[in-house]
Parts: sequence; C-alpha cells; structure tokens
Amino acid sequence: MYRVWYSTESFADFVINNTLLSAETVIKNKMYESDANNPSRFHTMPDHIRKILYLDAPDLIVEKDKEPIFSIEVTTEAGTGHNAFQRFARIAASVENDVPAFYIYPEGVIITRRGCNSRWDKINPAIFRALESIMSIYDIPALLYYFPSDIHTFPNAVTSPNIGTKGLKYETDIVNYPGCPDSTNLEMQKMFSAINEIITATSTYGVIVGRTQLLRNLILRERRNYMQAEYFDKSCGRTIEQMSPVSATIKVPSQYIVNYLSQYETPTYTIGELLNSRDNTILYQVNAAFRGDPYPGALAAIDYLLCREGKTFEDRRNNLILVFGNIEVDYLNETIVVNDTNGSSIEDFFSAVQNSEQHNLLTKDYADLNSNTISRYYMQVRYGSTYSKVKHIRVYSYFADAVLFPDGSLWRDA
Amino acid sequence: MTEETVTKSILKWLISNGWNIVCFDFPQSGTGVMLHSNSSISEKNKDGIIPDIVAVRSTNCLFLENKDRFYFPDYKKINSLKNDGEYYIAINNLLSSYPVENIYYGIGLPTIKHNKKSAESALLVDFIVGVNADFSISILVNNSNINIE
Repeated sequence: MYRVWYSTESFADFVINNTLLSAETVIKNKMYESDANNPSRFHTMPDHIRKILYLDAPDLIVEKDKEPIFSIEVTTEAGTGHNAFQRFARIAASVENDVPAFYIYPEGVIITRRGCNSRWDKINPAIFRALESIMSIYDIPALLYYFPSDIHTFPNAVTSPNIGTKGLKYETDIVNYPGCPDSTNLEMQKMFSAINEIITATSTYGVIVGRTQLLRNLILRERRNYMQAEYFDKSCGRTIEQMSPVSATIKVPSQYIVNYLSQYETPTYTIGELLNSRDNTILYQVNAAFRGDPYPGALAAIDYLLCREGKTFEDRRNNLILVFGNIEVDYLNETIVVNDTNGSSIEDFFSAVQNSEQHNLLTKDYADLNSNTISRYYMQVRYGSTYSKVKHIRVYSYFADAVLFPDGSLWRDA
Repeated sequence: MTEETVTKSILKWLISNGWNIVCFDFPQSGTGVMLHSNSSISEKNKDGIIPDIVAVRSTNCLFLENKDRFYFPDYKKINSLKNDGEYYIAINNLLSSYPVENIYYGIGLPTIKHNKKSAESALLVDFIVGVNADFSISILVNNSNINIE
C-alpha cells in the first residue's frame, strides 16, 4: 500500500493521477511540517517521516509499506543567485535519509519591475552541481526537472502569452489541479517516467534494495547526464567559484579560526579538536541581517559543493562556518576579523531559539497537560526541541561547524 | 475542511457559473498574484496582499478571502479593500484587460463555520459564501444583491 504525504492535495492528485500510482491503492495524508509551525499536529506524523522533515519539509513524500520511496519539491520562484538554493535543505533532508528527491524548478521566470521591461530571470546553474554532489555522496537520485515555461518559445519575455503567470505554464484544469505544472509538458512527462521507474524498482526489488539500484537505471542516468550538460551549457565558462553561493565563500587555514576563537578560551577551557582536525575552513559570508531564507539552503549546498566527502557532517574535508558580517582575513596574525555591516548580532540567534523554546512543553507538570498534548510532550521528551526550533535555526545548527557574528560566536568542539 | 478545499470548491462553483478566474491562491500553491499598495515603493512582499480568488463575469468582479474557519482579520481586510482604495492601482492593473465596472469583496469559509461572530461581522463585506460538507456552495450573505449564480 502506498501513502502520499502532501502539503497541497492538488499536487498529490497531480502526481498520483499521472504515474503508476494511479493503479495502486493510495492513501493521502496532509503533512505537518514541523513542531514549530504545526504544534498541534506534527507529533502525529510517523517517526520515519519526521526524520525527513527534520531539516525542512518537501511538498510531497510517497511511501510504500511505511518506507519512503521518493519526495518532490516544487517551486515557481526565480532561481537567480542564492534563491536557487532556498529549498536545497529539503532535497538534502530527503537524500540524507536515502530517499530519492525530485526538484521541480523553473528554468526561467518573468520578472517585471517598475519602470523596466519584463525579462526572464534564469536559473543559477550551480544548483545542478550541488545536486550532482549530493548524488555522488549518497548514491541516491536528486533530479531536477524544469517547471514548464515559455522561456524557449518566447525568449522575449514581453511576448509570452503566460506573462500573467510569470511565463510559467500551469495545468489548465484549475478545479482538480490548481497550481500544478502543465502535465503535458515534456519535462513533466519525463519526471513521471522517472517516478514510474522508482515505483517499479521498489516494487520489484523491495524498497531498500530498489533504492540503492536507482542510479544505475537508464532513464535516471539520462537525466543525471542531462543535468550535468545543463550545468556546463548554462555556466558559460564561469567556474563554480564565480557563482552564488560559492562566490560568497572564503577559504582560510583552520588555524586562523582556532586563533580567532581563542578569545573564548579560559584557563579551564580550550577550543575542542574538531575545527583543528581539518586543514582548511570554508567561511560562508552573509552580509545581511540575521534571518532565514535563502541562506539555510545555500549553506547546505555549500556543504556538498565544498566540504563534504561522506554521509555525515563529520566526513568533511573542510570545516564549514557561517558568518553574519563582513570577514577580513588578517594574514599577519593568522586570524580573521568579523565586521558588522548590517547589524547582525548573536542576540538575534538567541532570540530565535528562545522564541521557539516558549512553545515547548518540557517544563510543564503532568497536571498542566491536556490529553491532546501528552503525546507531543512525550515526543519532546525523546527529541527535545529537535523539531520545535524554527527552520533556519535547525538548518544552521545542523550544517555549520560554527556560526560567527560580530559580537559573538557558536562552535562545535567535536 | 482545509483552506485548499474551500478555495477549490469555490473555484469549481464559480467556473460552473460562467466566471473567469483571474487568479487564485491557497497555502503553498505558489499561484497567487501579489498586489502592492499604492504607496509601496519597492516590490518586496511588505504591505502586499495576495487575494485568494479574483473572478470576473461580464462587468462584475469578485474578490474573495478564504479560510477554513471564521477569521475576523479577513473581514477587516476585505472591508479595508472595499473602502480604503489602498490597492486600487494594483487592482486596476490586474483587471486592465477586463471591462469591470463593479468589484465586490467577500469571504469564503466552510458553511459550518459561519457562526454568530461571522454573521455579526457580515456587514463588513459584500458577500459570504459557504462550502457545504458535500462541497456544494451556499450563498450565506449577499449584502449587495450581487448576481453570483
């Protein structure tokens, strides 16, 4: 039996009715994304689904006999710069749990700004490189398909017949599939075909074995090859270092970071061995006020592009550090300086954590709990605030070995 | 009944009654059209609103805010749209290709959620439509005698 966890039921119907799932027994369930934004319902989600939701929630998860077989993330946002990576943590969360991920993303979106002609904002090709990296590490598919658009048929955005929907082509049946991509488009047909391959493989060999064989499947390999070709075609000779978000990183010897953090050492405390165990450190410099999107997803992508060599954050060649501020490398003293440019403060991080904690139940007495909150309490006893922190705090603390602000720092000792 | 179901049921009903759907939105659909206030300088999300349904038939236009429950801020929001004109530039742009003469502003919700508070707030809006348990639609309030069906 199949179960489809969805954020919008229309999209669940769209996937079911266009794939082999239409011939199967399928149960549909609403997905509750996190304990932070669905405190009354999230704890009712099964544990194996919660694991995928830990970093961020995709739009759809399909499971067979309680084993997830694939997830889908769909977006209609313009994919320029960092934005292409905004949802990357969702892809990572799925693949890190050995669940194939599909990413539906527009190749271009028409943007109209006041006083300017409409134009196509095109996808940042670095997303293909990041997806290739995560596939290489986990041997699990992470495939991108373009959201149907007029970008090739109407390269002059002003002439696009779908300019009202930013050049994107949706299903015309808005009663049954409102907001879904045009299913007749070749990209969607190819995605349905790949989904069918996964359904067939997991039915034939079982979910666990079937998933491990998917990257050998011809149809999925073809897509992987296509994505690599798209990366090279669309990079126009630029290196990955010249593209966002890698262009916002600086590589320094890890000793510089240890020297910087030595300001926190005391006679009874020294910085732990983790940071110094890797020769170099990647600093991801965010010159913005402390916030979430698009930075959590970009941080996850940088991990796979520049740091990871294995399946956990311990398996990194380079440390990964998130910096809210402007970095100055002091080569003479072998350290760094974090300058304040946008008013980001360590207090912002602490406020976000404290706000999340207000919703937790662990300080309550038994008498304070209603029947419908006991199960949530019990989940929190086991997992603490794992699922109840806001997304960007969850993602930052998962991926970053350290987070630096002009006025304070957080780091891992081991 | 989710907000998605409310919106989809109303869409189906409007289409069956000959209305053209200009735009629609429900949580996580990604389909909405953002309207910026007249005084908005930037095109960022601040001060922007995304109507849940805009539909046109002949010279009439309907704006709907939908929820899965009674939600008083939506009634205030609709009343503000109706009376303040804060978004008229964006609305005129949105409707520029339609011969619209009258715009009516209303609420969509599950019929069972049209409670005493909803009835008391009805004067703030032009109409309220309810989605019944079988997904059919009932016009619960029609203050402006709009010919919707």
